[in-house]
Amino acid sequence: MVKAKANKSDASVPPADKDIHVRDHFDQMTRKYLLSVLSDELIEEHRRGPSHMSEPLARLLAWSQRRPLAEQYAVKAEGDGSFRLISFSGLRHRKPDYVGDESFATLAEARHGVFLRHIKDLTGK
Amino acid sequence: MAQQKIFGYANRISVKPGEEITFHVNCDGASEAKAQLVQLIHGDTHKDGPGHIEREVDGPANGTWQVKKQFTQLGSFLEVDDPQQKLAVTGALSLMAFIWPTRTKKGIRQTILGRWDTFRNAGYALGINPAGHLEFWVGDGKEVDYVTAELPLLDKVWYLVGVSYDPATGRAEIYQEGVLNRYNSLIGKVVPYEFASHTSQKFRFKPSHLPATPFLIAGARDQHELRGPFVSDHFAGKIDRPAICMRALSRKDFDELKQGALPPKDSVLAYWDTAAGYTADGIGPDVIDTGPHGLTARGVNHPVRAMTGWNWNGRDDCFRLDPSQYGGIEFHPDSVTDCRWEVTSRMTVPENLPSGIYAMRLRVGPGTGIAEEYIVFVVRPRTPKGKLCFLVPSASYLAYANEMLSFEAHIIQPMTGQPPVVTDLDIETYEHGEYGLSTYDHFEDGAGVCFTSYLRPIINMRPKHRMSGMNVTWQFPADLSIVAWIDHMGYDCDFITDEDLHREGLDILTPYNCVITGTHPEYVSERMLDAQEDYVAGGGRLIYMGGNGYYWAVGFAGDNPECMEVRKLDSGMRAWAARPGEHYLQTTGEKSGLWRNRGRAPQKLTGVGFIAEGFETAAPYRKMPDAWHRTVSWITKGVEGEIIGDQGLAYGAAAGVELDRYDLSLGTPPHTKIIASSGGHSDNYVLVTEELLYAYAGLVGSLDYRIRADMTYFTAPNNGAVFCTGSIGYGQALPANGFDNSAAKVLANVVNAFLKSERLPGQQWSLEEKQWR
Ligand SMILES: [Fe+2]
Repeated sequence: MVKAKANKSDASVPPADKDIHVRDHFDQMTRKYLLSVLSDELIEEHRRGPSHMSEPLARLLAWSQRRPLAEQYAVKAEGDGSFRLISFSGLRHRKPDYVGDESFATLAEARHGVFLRHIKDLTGK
Repeated sequence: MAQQKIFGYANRISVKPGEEITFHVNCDGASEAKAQLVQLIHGDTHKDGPGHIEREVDGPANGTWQVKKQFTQLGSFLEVDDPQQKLAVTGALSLMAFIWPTRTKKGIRQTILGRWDTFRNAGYALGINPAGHLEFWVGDGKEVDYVTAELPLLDKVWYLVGVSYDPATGRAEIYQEGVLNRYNSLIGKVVPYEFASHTSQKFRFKPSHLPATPFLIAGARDQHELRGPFVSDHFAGKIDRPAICMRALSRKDFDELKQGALPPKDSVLAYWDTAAGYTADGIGPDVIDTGPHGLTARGVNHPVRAMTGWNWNGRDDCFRLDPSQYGGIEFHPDSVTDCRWEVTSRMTVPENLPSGIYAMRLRVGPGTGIAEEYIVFVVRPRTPKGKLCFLVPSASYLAYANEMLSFEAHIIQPMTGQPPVVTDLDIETYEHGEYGLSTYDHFEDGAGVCFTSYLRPIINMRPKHRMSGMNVTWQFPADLSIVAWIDHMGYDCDFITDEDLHREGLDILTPYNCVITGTHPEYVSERMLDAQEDYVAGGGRLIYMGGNGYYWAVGFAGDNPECMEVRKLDSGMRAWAARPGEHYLQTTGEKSGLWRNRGRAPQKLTGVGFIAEGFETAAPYRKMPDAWHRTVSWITKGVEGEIIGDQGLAYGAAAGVELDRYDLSLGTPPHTKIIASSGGHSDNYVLVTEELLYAYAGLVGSLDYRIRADMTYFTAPNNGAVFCTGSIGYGQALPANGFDNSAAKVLANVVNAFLKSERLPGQQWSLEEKQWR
């Protein structure tokens, strides 16, 4: 009788996805490595643009791009030709929000702005 | 004033002079729009090209159009033809269906079946309540009585659900039993859940019946002040063999249904046999009622058939083997394949309009961004005139129609290696979600989208649009770069679409000396493929201008050329994967997926096939030894040095985005020559999954020589020939430097040779060539 009840309550509560625990653990290890290699030179390497990438920069970008959708950023092309940063809601039909009020003159600058946002999230600064 | 925005579509994508086309427009914040017919020449605003080019054309529909707000019915459902209101039952009744729900945790009401008016609380229905519990309810026009199962339903598990109700006693009893087997549900019998629930309730009220209420499966009648009647409370998931009986069935009766028995014959009011009507060529949208009144249920917004049913045994993987296991019909509240808007304006295509790509340009208010719309259509020649034919890959436009990967696909940034660049138009379309999804998207319940149609606004089938994830033009606006080059060269060119080719076959191609494709003709039906193969074998000359072409096997419903079906499965670069047992097209009975997996790799027709994709950068081609061979040296004549295509609007060079490769093991004609090949691609270029047997590290551009675009050429019987660029980016390279560049030079050499009705250059060497050296 008690067992049956337990079954019922199991069924009425959507079980959590335990995969998150593992992902979080992996993410902690990745962040630790990235913080150990983060430097002004690395940021400058990204600002210069896409030529050959060093391994630390490639790993930093890979981490940024693999973060959950709601932690990713994108560029909004404004009607006047400028660019701003946005973040996705991760919820269907919920429009993205602007991130900060900085406006960029070029797409390359905006993309570097996205990169700096990820660095900010990584370092907490 | 409301924000001004305008969206529209046409009833046809291809039309001849003298034929009529209708336009359907939805507008907010304005009652008049300025309409102007334009011929579209170029659609990429990239700074390295000529920019957007359109030519205003006199047309009978130009001028001011009266426009208004129009509403779209979202969601797929079945509406029962019941003119005599046989289902307005006043006595006892039972409802039943097998269901496989997918959105029980969404916190919304869903209707499985019933004759229910949710606005007026009248009628009866069996459904799922916001807590995810099976529920039956009746309403007398004011009050509603409910009987609810104790336990919530689980997603992606098959159940038999039902109710028996007798208004004489007021007793209503819910029947809910799991019918999982080893294959049919997401989980199996090792999971210790309780699936069954049997509860009863004594109702105080009896259903009242309004004449206008339709009996619906997977939805309920609703009402809105401005919009009028519509359907809401959609069910998400599969329903198999729903039925209604005119007496209160016993628990024992239901237990027999659970074993696969039919409802007691003398009690059946309607039994929609969702497994009936299959042929080897598939099945249509309407569901047969085998009951006494023959109340056919008509599919709206393409409920998906050819889906496994409650009794699927995991062994028969196609409805052609055993249709009785394919009673599942899948419904999605966010499906739309026809907006069904009123006609805003119509136009008879002027007799003197040359074949080309046209649009009705509509503007309200500021006339830019979301206040501007281009309704695109192709004007075919009344009779073929040119020697050159541009085959507009409209099937591939349909596949990508309104894709929203940037907003929802976690894969997009790792794939593209860059953050998306979105516009107001992208956000507007995403936020409102009224214009449907592409075959790259998922329904809200996670299922892949397999139907797509052009009877709805398509925001990426417009000039100036850039695909946000990749930040380049894609499909239609990318193909305009080829159109602009044809225009620049002054070729007399006729334009036809995939739809025309699918309908008319080889005959539509034979008048032409040369057929040229778009940048990414990825989706092809068997008839389209047959026609192109027969054209080349019969002496036609084909220029395949793209990458990742001739890839997916698609179907069109016989009487619905505007709607295409594809199922993505097994292998290939794919946005979703069809579930086991659901790999065959309901529209044709064919297996979908890659043509390569059906024995028709693209290499067999073109010489090349998909090998890699990548973004952010592109590379030029370098001449290969064959380039100097005496039979083909004419192709690169005038190109000094070894490099071809070192400029372009797609990442700066001609070989990029998606790349195709020569591969004898997949059927590249043995005498094919590799004129040039790219290489040195970045590590964002990755090998396609269909090439993968064992995965290993380093299947990327800088480590794997296979990752490249091959420019190939081979001769075919009867003076036929095929030339391929093997790259999507080649088309976007043509307009660079005012159309004066090496990629354009090579293409001009080929087109000029292909247009001549004589033997091809280099064929004096044909004897030797036949030795395939
Ligand atoms: Fe594609």
